[in-house]
Amino acid sequence: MTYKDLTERKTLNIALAGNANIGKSVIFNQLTGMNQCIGNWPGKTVAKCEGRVTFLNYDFNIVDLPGIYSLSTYSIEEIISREFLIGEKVDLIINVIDGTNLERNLFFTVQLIGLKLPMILAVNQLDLVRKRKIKINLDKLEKIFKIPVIPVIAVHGRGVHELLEKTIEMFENKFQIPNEDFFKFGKEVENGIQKLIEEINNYTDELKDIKYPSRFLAIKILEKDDELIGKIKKLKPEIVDIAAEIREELEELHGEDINTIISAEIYNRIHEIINQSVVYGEKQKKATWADKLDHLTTHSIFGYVLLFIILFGAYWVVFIVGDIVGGWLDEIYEFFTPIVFNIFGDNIGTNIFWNGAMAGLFGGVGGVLVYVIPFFIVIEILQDSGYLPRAAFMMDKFMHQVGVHGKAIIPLILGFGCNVPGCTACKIMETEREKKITAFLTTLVPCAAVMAVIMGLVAKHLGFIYVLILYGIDFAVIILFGKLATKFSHEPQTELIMEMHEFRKPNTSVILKQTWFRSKEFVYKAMPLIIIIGMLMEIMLMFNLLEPINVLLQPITVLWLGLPVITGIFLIYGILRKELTLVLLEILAVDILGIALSEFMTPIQMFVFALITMLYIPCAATIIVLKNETGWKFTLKVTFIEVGFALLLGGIVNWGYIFITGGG
Amino acid sequence: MITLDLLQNNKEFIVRRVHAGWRAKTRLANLGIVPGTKVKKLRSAPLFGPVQVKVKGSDLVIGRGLARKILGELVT
Repeated sequence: MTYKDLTERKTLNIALAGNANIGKSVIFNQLTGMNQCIGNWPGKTVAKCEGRVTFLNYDFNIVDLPGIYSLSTYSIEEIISREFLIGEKVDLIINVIDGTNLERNLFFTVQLIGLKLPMILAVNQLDLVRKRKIKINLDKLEKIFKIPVIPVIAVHGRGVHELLEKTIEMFENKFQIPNEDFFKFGKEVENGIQKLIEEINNYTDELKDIKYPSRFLAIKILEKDDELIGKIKKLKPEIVDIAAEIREELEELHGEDINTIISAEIYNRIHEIINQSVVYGEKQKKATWADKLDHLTTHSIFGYVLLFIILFGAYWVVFIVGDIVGGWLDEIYEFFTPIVFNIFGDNIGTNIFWNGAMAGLFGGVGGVLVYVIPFFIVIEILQDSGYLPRAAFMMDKFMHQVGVHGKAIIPLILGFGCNVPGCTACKIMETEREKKITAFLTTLVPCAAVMAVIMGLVAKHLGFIYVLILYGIDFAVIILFGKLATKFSHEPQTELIMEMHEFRKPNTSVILKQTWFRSKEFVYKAMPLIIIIGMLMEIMLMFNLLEPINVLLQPITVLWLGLPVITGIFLIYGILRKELTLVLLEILAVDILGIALSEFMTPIQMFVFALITMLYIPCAATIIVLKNETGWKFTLKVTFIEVGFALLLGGIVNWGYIFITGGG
Repeated sequence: MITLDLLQNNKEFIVRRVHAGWRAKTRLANLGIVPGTKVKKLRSAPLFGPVQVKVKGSDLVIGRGLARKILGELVT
């Protein structure tokens, strides 16, 4: 790679790389001021975070890579990261490592150095390091790795700008590429790698499209890296065969598989490095508040009690806040409605604008965003404090029943507030399989809007026991679909492997920033579509297209489900906002017909109507987010399955009731 | 030799073998669980849920099914 062209420009491309949960994103936010995780990596469902900043007359383009532990092919994030790093668009890597956990973090550092890109090591969490009486000799680390080491306390912004200063200094000195002199494998492995490197270097022409340094490539082929082996096989299959021979020899010699041998040797070297450069102070014997909280949240009884209280509390807070603010917005909308029609007159344009676009806008803000924002805040607090992995730990066993591991509990919890953040959170699942199953199940979780319908219709008119029955049905459906999805997916289920971090006090600015940027993602991606759908609905209403729809839906709504004919339109509107089904029902019965809801609908109709509303389709905003996370094909599949299943179930309930009661 | 899921809380063992599939094994190796590594069991989740261990200075949670495939020798 040449860096000559760098002198022509003054934009430096930096990639932030490191393990998950070590403050990498905090550094990114400090540097760019804004966390701009808008859009995904091309063709992938992983968010791409990119930001720009100008510092000392240089423009920096900074990409925050996903938090990963290795450059293998374990997760999509790992593949994306290594392809991006090698893709010629990175001038320098800032490898962020957790000072309190050097051993684990340096394993990744060793792999990054193998990419032969200019690099800076940012040792973060030095406040905690000091607190725990750990002494890190940064100069020594610098000497060993031969790359600059910068001390950082990201949450306080300390050392963050030094990273950019160092980058400029390195740039002006024509960027030194780190070498791997600090580490050689044991004799047998090293010989094998050298042999493979020679082979690779013999075919530089054939392999010119593979940009990885030959040593990195050799190690990866030896490690049976399926992605790179697939590529090499097409270009020069002989190399793969030779690698297989060497691998077999080594595995026989060591009595272990190659990945274990290689990882073990790297960890051994890191252990030596740590011994030379880090001194651990005496461990504190007194249990801190974090230890006590850790103990309580994972207790076999109190852990679940606490989980329930936290979930219920979160749900309650979100519901109250959303309800109040949503109510204000409704009032504002209603206040302006006569004014707007007075000024602009009752014509097509005003109707499309106000009753369509603006109704969609207010609907999106008042019906979804007011729940989404408080929910993000609560979730960010749980996330930043370190609670969520504990929930995953406690729920892993249960989640296995539906074909995914414990981490899936996080999107599902979010789904109770609103399916939108729930689906977004499916990013945390490692493989496409887990991500898709989790997203699918999340769309079945009854959100706050569904709860509003169930409460307003079923609890009020039928009694609370029927609310429990409905929720029971919903959970049964989630379990059923979880089991079915597991059965039909060809890929094996992944076991839970995750890091558990200590509890820490949540950082307010991090929480607010994350909340803001997550909400922004929703606003940008879902709101325009909601507004368009709102306008389309209004146009359909104006040209009286809804009546034919009612007639068209009649066989389903009236004959099969036993509902009043008008509910067809309500269910169509409900796609936009699920609580609209109840709102419209009340408007029609109480405001227009002037009769009580209990006279308009029989108890069984109410039950079926609530059941259908609960399950029949993900709302418009959820569909959009689901599409962003999993693609159109999967989203349509999920939507059709849910529509079909809800109608089937609703009809069975209706006809079952008729059958049992003899047509009552 | 015993498996990790059977290790008592607050006891340590040295990993000798990992019998998992290629993917999980690589992941564990990358996280430091390789033969020779000392692992301390911290707790396991109720109802035969996952286990939490300390390895190389950090806490890891490992699903029960996978923990059953990690064999080691007790440190006495």
